[in-house]
Amino acid sequence: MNSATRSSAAKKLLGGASAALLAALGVLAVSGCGEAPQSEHTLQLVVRGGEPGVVVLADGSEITLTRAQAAFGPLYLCPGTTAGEACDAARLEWRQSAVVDLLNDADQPLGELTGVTGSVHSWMFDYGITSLLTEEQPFVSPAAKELGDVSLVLEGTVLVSGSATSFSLEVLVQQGAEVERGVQVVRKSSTDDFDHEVTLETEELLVKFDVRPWLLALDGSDFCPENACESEVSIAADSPAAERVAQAMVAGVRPDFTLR
Amino acid sequence: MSCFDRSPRPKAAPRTARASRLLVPALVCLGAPHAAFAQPAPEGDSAAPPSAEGAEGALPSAPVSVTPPEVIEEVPVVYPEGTDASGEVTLVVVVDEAGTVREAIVSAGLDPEIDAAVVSAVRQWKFSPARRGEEALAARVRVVVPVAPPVLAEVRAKQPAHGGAPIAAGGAPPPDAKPPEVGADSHGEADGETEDTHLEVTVHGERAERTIRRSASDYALHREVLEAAPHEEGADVLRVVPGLTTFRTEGLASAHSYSLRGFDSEHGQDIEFVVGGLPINLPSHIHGQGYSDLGFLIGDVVDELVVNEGVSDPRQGDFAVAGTIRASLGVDEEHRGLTLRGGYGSFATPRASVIWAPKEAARESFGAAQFTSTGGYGENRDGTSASGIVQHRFGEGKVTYRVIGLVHGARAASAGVVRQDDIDSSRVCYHCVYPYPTAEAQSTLAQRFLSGFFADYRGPEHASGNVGVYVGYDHYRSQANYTGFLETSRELPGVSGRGDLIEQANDTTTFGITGRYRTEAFEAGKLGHGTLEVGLDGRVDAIGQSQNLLDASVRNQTWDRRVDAGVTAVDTALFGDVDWEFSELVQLRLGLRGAVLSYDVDDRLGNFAPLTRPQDQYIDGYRRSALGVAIGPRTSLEVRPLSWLRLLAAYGEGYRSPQARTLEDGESAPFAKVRSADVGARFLLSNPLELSVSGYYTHLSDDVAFHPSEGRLESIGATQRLGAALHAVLRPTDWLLGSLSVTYVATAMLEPPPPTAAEPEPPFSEGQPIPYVSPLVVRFDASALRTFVEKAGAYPLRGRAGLGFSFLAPRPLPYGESGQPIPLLDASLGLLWGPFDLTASGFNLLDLDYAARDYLFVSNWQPDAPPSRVPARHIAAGSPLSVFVALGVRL
Repeated sequence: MNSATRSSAAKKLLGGASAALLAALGVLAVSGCGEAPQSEHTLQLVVRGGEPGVVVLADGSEITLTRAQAAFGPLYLCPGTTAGEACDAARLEWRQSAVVDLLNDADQPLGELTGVTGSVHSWMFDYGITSLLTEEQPFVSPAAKELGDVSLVLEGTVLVSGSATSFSLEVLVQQGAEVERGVQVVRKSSTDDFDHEVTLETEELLVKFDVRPWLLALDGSDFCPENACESEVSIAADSPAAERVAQAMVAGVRPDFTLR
Repeated sequence: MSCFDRSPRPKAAPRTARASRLLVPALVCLGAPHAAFAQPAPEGDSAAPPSAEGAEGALPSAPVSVTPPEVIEEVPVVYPEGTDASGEVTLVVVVDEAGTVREAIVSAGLDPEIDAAVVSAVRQWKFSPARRGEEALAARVRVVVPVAPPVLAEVRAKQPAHGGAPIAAGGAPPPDAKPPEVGADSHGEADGETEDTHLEVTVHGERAERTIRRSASDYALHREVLEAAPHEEGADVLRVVPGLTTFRTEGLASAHSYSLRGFDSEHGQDIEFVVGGLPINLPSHIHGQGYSDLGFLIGDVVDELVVNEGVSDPRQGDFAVAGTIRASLGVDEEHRGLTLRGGYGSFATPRASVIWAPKEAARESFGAAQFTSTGGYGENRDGTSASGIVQHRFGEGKVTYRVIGLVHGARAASAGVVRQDDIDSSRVCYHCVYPYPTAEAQSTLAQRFLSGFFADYRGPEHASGNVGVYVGYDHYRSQANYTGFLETSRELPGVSGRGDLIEQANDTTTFGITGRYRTEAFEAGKLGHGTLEVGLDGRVDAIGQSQNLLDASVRNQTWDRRVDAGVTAVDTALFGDVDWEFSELVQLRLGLRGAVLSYDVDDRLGNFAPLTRPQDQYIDGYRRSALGVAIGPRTSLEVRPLSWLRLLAAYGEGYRSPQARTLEDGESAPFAKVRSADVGARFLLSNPLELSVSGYYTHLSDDVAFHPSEGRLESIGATQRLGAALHAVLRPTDWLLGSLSVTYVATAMLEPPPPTAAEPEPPFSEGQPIPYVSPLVVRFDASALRTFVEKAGAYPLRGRAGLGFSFLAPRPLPYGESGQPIPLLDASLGLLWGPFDLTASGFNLLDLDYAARDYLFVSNWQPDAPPSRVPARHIAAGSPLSVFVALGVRL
């Protein structure tokens, strides 16, 4: 084979080989950019309250609510079984806030959770007052400001030893700076059941609030000290009664989370 | 393959047969079609200095006579009007494998106008190419053209010495003209010279110092390819390396981010860089092991890149995981002299350089300095850099010497990264920085000195060797904030959110030695012949490093300490290599490298228990030592079934030294091990095409990836890569050059860190592609150089155009996300007229907003609002469209 023939044969071979290789690389490149194991996703955030009716307290006092509004947010859904500091990387989040009507059992759309698909095993949120790593004072959300810089406002009447009193109660739920600064105050406990797989088909997160258990942290004396009832009473956020309600909101019965 | 490397018993060249039409003492090197032209020997230096890092070569074998180029078609010189000089003009002419003149440079002239006329004519000459057997070779020849006033104006060759026929001006050679037979003597030289000789050919066979292309993924990239596309800075020449990507993500003073065939090398952890024989990687650097800042490189003095992708050469040492890139420095004959260059570009960017390369000195002798300043392509990106390099080769005979020194200083601000969602919501612009002191204080300072002294031995019958010593000092300090406001002090109770401005400082003082010796070729009867090489590398690094959190709003108050350590690292390596040619068909290279890596770590913050245990029970600190031995084979097999085809298979095991602070006391394997296999073919075609294809597999025992909250590399377990690469160089005409590389790789993480209580959903999962590595990298470079006006005043007017195109497929990110594809187009246009050249370059001509790096992690850049906790895409913006105009003058 002379050099010219060899050269020609070589070029033909190279042409074919190059074309085949480039085609293969193209296919590989396309296949290499396949579906990611997780996808960006948004969920509708819907909350729902409920009419508690007449709530009978431990001492027999009866509460009837006419207003129950809570500041809600931000909210994080986490991949770990416990939230808090173990939720450095959340799956979905809603960093806004809104005032939730806890007496309304209709769906109240609040916005969208944004994040990615995947398993979620815990949640954490604030009632409008958020501890920040960057600030000495907690962040008061617009929703909490709407309620007067508190997390929860309850209004209604209470019947204590036969005497009816109108009341208003303000509750402040916030993280203690000395505890876990920068971490949401309400978190799923290890005993709560919350294990879900968020897929592209998952459309909505429903959060159902029940104010009744929180009211059970009160008793008649909170409204009528020494059985001296007045026609109206305002219970401030720094009162023992309000703090007990706050404690119930954080460590007692928490909202119910449902993905659907 | 170099000129004479197949000759185990090279003999003195015949001193006859100079009847060719080449004129006068011609300095010739015969290169393989894709090999560099070996550099000419300096005048008076009969022993040519070793080629920079060696040229491609095979074992020496039987002597093969080499026929130099012959002139087969001349174009007469048009004697310029207004002059009356006569005499000879000596040119150095590069004749390619097709017989076309690719370069014609005046080495001894008469008169600028006459010189230009001669160059213009000779550029149109046609040659028969140099040949070794049937194989056409590129060659560099010295041509002397006699010129005389109009009465004798035609160019003609003088009477050749030994019966050669004169060359008729403008005509073909007489039929009895015969080319000389050229062989190689022990110095690779073959010639004869007599005073009346007008046609002589001197061949300085620049045989390979040693074989360096041991696998199909090894490349020798010469200056013509390196300078084809425009470059913003010296290190941009690396972009022609197949499969390599480089970006500046942290400003002018920080090392580039490199990625090579499936390895996210960050700042150099997976690529061994050697410049002028000096190792660049810094072990156990605080910002990432193997940190390699090539900001000192001056593009005009980068002569050649020799690239070993994969691990197949026992010379490859620490950090040769994805491969090794060796840059040799020098200034070719055409560019020697005093060159001043200055320019100005977009974003208030002036640059100036001076190169001094004495014409009478060796190619490797030069001094160069460069200054760059920029306002930056956006907020907080200003910087200034200065560097200087001096190198000198001296001595004659079998042993020559080379001394090299470089110094570099740079400081630059950095915009860091910004969140994509903040860009989308117009909270911050693409090329901006967050408006907080902790972001605006991001910067890097780089200071480095390196110097080495090397002695190179070129013995008889292909024996060779070298020894060298080097010293270096490097200081690095950076302030970077990737995550905004997420950190909490581990030392100060209740202190948090003062901005995650991570300060990293690293000082390294290095002492090193290197040496190797390759024996003369020896025969073993029917078993063939071969050579044996032994060598050693050793270095000691004394390292001091620290990492703190700074509050930029209060004069950089330190509000947390994370690292305060001193490390002493010693790497002692011994290697051996047998290069054995069983026959013309089969060549085997068997190498072995063993390295002893030892570390002493004084971790002054070790055992610190952050705020959870009484501090009075013990004193902070954790001192430990570790030593391990890394041994691995480096083998390759080359089969030559056809004269134009080389089939290669290679396997090697390499290592990467660790971040020493991660070692435990007494650890016996303080390194990550890489296993690399490579198969492929090289096609040794004459012009216009050079081509190689390869497939490869690599497995790394312990990989690392960028960890944003620490601002450094953290372990991600074992990883693997399976890929293929194509590399082609095309020269369709003598004035046009194209270079293409395509690299595809499929990567996978094999043992990512398992979930923990602190990180129940880790960013990496088994089988996931390795983050930040583009699966497909395409690079195309092209250049054109033509004469527009033969006579524009005293000189011809030439035009030059260059083009560089890069494409990166989307890069995988943590959590299974992926980035965006990146297509980048650069181009340049230039005019050359005598000693002047004017060039306008454009970069990112498509003006794409692209992420030089993209990451996925949690950050909080809204300190006055509830933080985001979902990992978000962050980008380090690449440079938008920019232009640069430079004027150079060579004196």
